[in-house]
Amino acid sequence: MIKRAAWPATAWLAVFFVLPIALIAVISFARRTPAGLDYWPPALDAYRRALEGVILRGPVWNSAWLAAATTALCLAIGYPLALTIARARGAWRHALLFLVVLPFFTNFLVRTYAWFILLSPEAPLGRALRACGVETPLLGSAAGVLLGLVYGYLPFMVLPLYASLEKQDPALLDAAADLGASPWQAFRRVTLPLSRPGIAAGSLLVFVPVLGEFVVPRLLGGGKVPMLGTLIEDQFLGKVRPNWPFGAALAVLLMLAVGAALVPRLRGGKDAPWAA
Amino acid sequence: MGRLKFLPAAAALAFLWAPIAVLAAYSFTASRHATVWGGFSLAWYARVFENPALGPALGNTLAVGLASATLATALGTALALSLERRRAPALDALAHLPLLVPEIVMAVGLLVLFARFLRPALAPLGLEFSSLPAVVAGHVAFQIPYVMVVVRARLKDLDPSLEEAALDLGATPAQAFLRVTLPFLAPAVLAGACLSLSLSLDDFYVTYFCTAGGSGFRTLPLHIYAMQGRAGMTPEVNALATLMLGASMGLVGVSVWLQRKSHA
Amino acid sequence: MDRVSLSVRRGEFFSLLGPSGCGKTTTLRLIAGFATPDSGELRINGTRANEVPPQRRDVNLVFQNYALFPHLTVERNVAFGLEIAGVRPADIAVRVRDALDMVQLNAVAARRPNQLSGGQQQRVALARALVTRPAVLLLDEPLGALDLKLRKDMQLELRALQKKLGLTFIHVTHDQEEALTLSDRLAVMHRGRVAQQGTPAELYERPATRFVADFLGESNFLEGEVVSAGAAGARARLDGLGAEVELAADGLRAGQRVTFALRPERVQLRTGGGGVPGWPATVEDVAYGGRDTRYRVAFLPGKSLLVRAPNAPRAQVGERVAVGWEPADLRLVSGD
Repeated sequence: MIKRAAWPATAWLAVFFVLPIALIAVISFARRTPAGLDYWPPALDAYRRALEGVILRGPVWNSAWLAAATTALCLAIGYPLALTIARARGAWRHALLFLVVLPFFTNFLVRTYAWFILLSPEAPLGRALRACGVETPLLGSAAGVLLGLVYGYLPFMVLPLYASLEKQDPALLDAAADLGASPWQAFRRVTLPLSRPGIAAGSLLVFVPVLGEFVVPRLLGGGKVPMLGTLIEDQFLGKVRPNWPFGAALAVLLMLAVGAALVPRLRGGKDAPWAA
Repeated sequence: MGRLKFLPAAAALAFLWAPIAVLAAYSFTASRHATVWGGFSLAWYARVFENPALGPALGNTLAVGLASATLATALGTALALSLERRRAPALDALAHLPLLVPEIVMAVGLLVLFARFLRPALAPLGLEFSSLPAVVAGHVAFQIPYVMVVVRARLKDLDPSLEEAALDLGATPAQAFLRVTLPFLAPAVLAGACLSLSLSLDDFYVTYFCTAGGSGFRTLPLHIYAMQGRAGMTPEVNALATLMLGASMGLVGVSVWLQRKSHA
Repeated sequence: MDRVSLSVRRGEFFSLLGPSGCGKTTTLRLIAGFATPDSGELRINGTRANEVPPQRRDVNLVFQNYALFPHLTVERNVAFGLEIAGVRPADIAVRVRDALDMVQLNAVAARRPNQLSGGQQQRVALARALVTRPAVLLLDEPLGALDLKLRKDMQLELRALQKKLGLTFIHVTHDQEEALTLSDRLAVMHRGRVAQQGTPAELYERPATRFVADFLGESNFLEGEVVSAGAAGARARLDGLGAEVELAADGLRAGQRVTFALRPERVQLRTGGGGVPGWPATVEDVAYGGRDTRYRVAFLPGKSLLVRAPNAPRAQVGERVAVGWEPADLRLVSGD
């Protein structure tokens, strides 16, 4: 009975997960002809186009640096938050955790839309910035997209960090203090190294999805901050000249990039990316 | 130091909540523009409730959510039981893969599968693969791994001697599973179902690509996406978004409260 | 496990005693049906039970960690076996109440296991296993998780319960004192084999192997060599002492190395300097132990002896004393 229990889920994943990705891989090697897609012989046209300078310097570069910057900012904002929660007592801890998790459970699109209002030139933030002499509007800029990304993915960083910090025995800090460490030294030499799995897991959970993000650049970038995700969408659903093989090749390259980001963690064996 | 050390955490929390507060505030604006404050008004909420397109969108969202969560919970729980009891490294890896593959890749793949292959293949048979089952199929696929992970975490905590104790007291293996293992797993199965439901309600990518092709099928997130950015966007979007935020927060609040009560 | 041969009599309190990893828990799991022997036969009530699955064996197990069902109340935990057996609900209620009365837990019948203390959980596990009236009750380190005081109380309760019900109890423990006080008979296991079985007095007073002598209580070991062996008996000479000991055992041959076990409380310690009969020794260490005093005395070159002696007169560290013993207190033990 137990043996066969895996079959339905396996079949479902095979048809609605593995097969779609396999189709993407196949299409990425197709050639566009006036009559439709030509699958044989396999062509590298789409990949050649994907690796052109314009693409690399534009969407690919935007995705890479925005993903890296988002991860760094989420870590910088999320670590103190996670630490405060992990060190809070009883009811406080629950309340703080609740405050972090609650936005996480609301619709991502709605949360991003909230930034659309916040960043618009007529809203208080925009007016305040103009009063300070900043004339460039945040909406439609890379900075605006970055803010939205950090906002959307912050909980993905805070939760694994909290999980690893919460496991630490508070007696370790007492032991460090007993051995003469200042609070900062204790943090630097005990807390931080012990939270490395949490940092790694959180960074991965932020970096990987941001690479393929398309809602945030669409809503907050206003078409001025192309990323891999928006470029892929254009190729499949764009109003002008969709190009499936090109979009498929970009998707395959995105998967390869994610795979490369995962390699250091997969090597850990037991320390698989989903273990955290 | 003293209070100062709480400052970064307080700032982070403010960062998390400020946009939500601003959105809620702007849903009460009397202005005709979504991003302009023009005095207090409840008019846009009235507009939301009068909008004839929102009823079906809400219905679709809930239908997709409930159907996909139910299916994914059943499939994911069975998968968890199977993988926890016998080694199957390849299947184990496959079952985690949807957690790692960028959602847009999967979404685009589903678009290709439905638009290019399944629909054309079924059309000559007189069958139509409409949007609802397509979206449900996609949602179930990305929910299965989450259910599996949650249920397996609980299974790891299952003391094997509990099932042995049941057998020792005369239960057959099937009775031991139904009377001991399943009740023990129940909280995790329920948590998996809730997680699936919230993932489904939150989803944009898969829904967006699975319904591409102008079938007119819309869920609430799709509706908001379609409304915003359009010229002359009114605060009706704000009101709808605020209602959605309120509803999901209310749901989470209730489920946390229920959980607390059952533990007390 | 290898060549374990045990027979437990009806209505007996039998203990399997040994260090961790000696095979005692495996033996218990074989009896319960959670493991199957590669060879050999298991009989319960005289019939072969090798192939009977656990749910059909008339044997119930009290698990080491109790294995109480966390989602069921105390009452429902105890009722579990009866419900499975299809007993009428009215009868179940009566029998559960009786079982809980027996372990004095009716007051907490409606609670969940995680709301109970360790001792209470232990008693629920006991009631749950006893309520179906099995032919044999197996107990896997049932008191291992309890603190010392509670453990002593539970030992007495367990013993009283077993006598009252007249059931066969098979009990696994690594606590030698527990095994000695509780059991009618016990078996000491070592490296997957039964080293010796018998009553507590037989095992303590006549240990067959060096391991048994060492594991049950404390022992000194003296080496020697057989000097003569014949139909009338054998004699052995103790190394370094020159004294000869009569041996009742047969099957020995001259020149063979032998080991003797000597209980510390059987060693006599005499103070008062020279002229006292016995072998000379020097006190190295003194530890007051309440009922008596423990000494370590330097005896032969490189060899010291453990001695338990009355508290008075007390010898001091460095004092010259004499030690001696009755020849009958030297027990010949086999090497392993």
